[in-house]
Amino acid sequence: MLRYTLKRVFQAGFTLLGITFITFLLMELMPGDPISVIVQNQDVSQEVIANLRAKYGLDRPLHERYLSYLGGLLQGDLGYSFRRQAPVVEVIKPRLAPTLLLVLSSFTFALVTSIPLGVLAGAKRNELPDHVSRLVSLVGISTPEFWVAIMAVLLFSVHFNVLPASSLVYPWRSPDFYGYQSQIQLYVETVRHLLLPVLALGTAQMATLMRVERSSMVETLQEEYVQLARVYGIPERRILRKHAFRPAQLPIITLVGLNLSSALAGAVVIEQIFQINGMGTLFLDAVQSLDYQLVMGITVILATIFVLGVIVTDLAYAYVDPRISYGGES
Amino acid sequence: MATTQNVDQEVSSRGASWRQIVRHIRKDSTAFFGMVITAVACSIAIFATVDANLATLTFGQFENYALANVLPVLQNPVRTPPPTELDPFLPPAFAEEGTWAHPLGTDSLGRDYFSRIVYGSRISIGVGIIATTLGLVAGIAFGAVGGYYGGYIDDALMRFMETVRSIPGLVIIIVFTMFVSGGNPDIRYAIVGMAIVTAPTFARIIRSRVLSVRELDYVDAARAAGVRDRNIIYRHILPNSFAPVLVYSTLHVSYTILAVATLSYLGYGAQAPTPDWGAMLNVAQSQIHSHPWLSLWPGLSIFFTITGLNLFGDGIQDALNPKIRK
Repeated sequence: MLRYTLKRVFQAGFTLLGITFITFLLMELMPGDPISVIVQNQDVSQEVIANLRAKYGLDRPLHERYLSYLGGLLQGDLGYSFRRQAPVVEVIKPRLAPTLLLVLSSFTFALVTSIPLGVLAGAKRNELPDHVSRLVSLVGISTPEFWVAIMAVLLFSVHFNVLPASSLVYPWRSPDFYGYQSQIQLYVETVRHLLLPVLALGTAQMATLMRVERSSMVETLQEEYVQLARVYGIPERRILRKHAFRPAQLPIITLVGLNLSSALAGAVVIEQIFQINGMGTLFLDAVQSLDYQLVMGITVILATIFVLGVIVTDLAYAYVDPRISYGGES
Repeated sequence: MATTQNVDQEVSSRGASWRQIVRHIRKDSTAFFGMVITAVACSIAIFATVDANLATLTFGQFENYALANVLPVLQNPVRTPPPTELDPFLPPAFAEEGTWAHPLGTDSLGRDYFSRIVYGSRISIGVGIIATTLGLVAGIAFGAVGGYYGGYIDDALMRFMETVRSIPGLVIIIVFTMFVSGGNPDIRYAIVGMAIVTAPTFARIIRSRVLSVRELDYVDAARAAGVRDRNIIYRHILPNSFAPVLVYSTLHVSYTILAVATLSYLGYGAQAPTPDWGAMLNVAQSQIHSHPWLSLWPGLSIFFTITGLNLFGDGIQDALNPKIRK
């Protein structure tokens, strides 16, 4: 297990290196550079521009700049945002927690709803629960996240006026910050503010997870050892709980890791709709103002979160299914 | 998991013919339903040119349009001629104060919403197909070269593709459209960005096929006969590696349509006054409190189109899956 872990972490290191290279190259290929964007509409002499380039090291050759960028990365330095006149790390730091809160809550919502429904659908194949779950997952997959968000706002905030439609309440702040009476009220408000964004972001996740859970359950229930258990006269309920449930979760684990990518992309949209000050809104701001350094920093961070997520799910998979790590060692 | 899927697709597509797919879909009622929706959506996109011009017009342009088009509009019995005055924010026809001249009402500039929705189908479906095709071509090129030559070239290409995949697709596309266009995003950039993001997936599928086809005797024979590499790939390997990736690409169109709608909604795809469903939702959202109808129709259109494509796609996939097919 340890060797497998080390191997995966090592591979991830390579992927991360590749990501920094590609984002760097991508930004390099874009027309213009940070300085030209800043002086775009101003009357500045070529000399001043050249001086600025020299000051920020933009006149050095490509490989030198990439290496110094890498060196900075290793020390936790993501560069300097010319637009915001601040280090990229400082700009990104306060934006991480809201996005993680949103994405993790959505995954929790998706897992809590999709696993029971998927298992039920798989166990009662072609019966009512199966049809219901297939309908739900079809609707979930076919509806754009942002439209779910708009419709949820329309229904719960505009029509019934029961849930707030913008920004979040953060549980790690003190109740006084929001003017709440007690800690409990803070938590209640946190959940209330999270409900709509989580519903919007989690529906699509739930739908894909439920589809896989259902088909995985159907497949597992057809395995020979399950048939054998049936022949022994073990009650169906017990078979489901003791024999089929755990092996059927394997594809789900992998899918959660892979879905992290689409969830992060979804967070960009959802944060924009609900005016949440997370990585997503920061990213759109940065793109809007053509802030090269900041866009690069955010891209690297998002990709890192994804790669780390995949490692965690891979390790969880190896933990649940020992065959994986043995295979890796041989 | 991904590799087993590829293998599944590979194994299955060898045994199935188009006739089998058709037979399967005829029996499978949900897939048939999906096919009907898809067919209807596509025909609307292709044939319904009724008042399409009206959909893009703004206040000032309307008078010129009316002058130039009075005759054709009167000759066309399909729709009631548009009223000569623009009436903003009309509710749909079945609501109070609605009129059948504008079945879905009008938007803030008094443009007929039904025309815009109809015309929007052409943009959404068209863009979905074009972007998928571009991604398919690029993916085939990369996958075929990597799979055929193997070794370092293959490793480098596949590593590159893997890395691209680990950055959220939407992020790449937005960065691409914004920075390449120098701050003036446009649907064309969105299409190219979309193709960049989808290419790696296609490349992986075609590569796994090429890897097995490459080892077949007739390829050896061609090589022994001195056929050039380019011709071997083009004439002998690709035609025999094509089927699974083609099927996958039809399934992929629905994903592309969703992604492009999201982009346009965020303002990085189609721009106003183009009647794109995503762009329409973008505008409608600011009027959601006063005119909720405007947010309903584009979303429903996306939903039905994608549902149809998904059901149809599931049917095709089932037809190709030997476990289910028997």
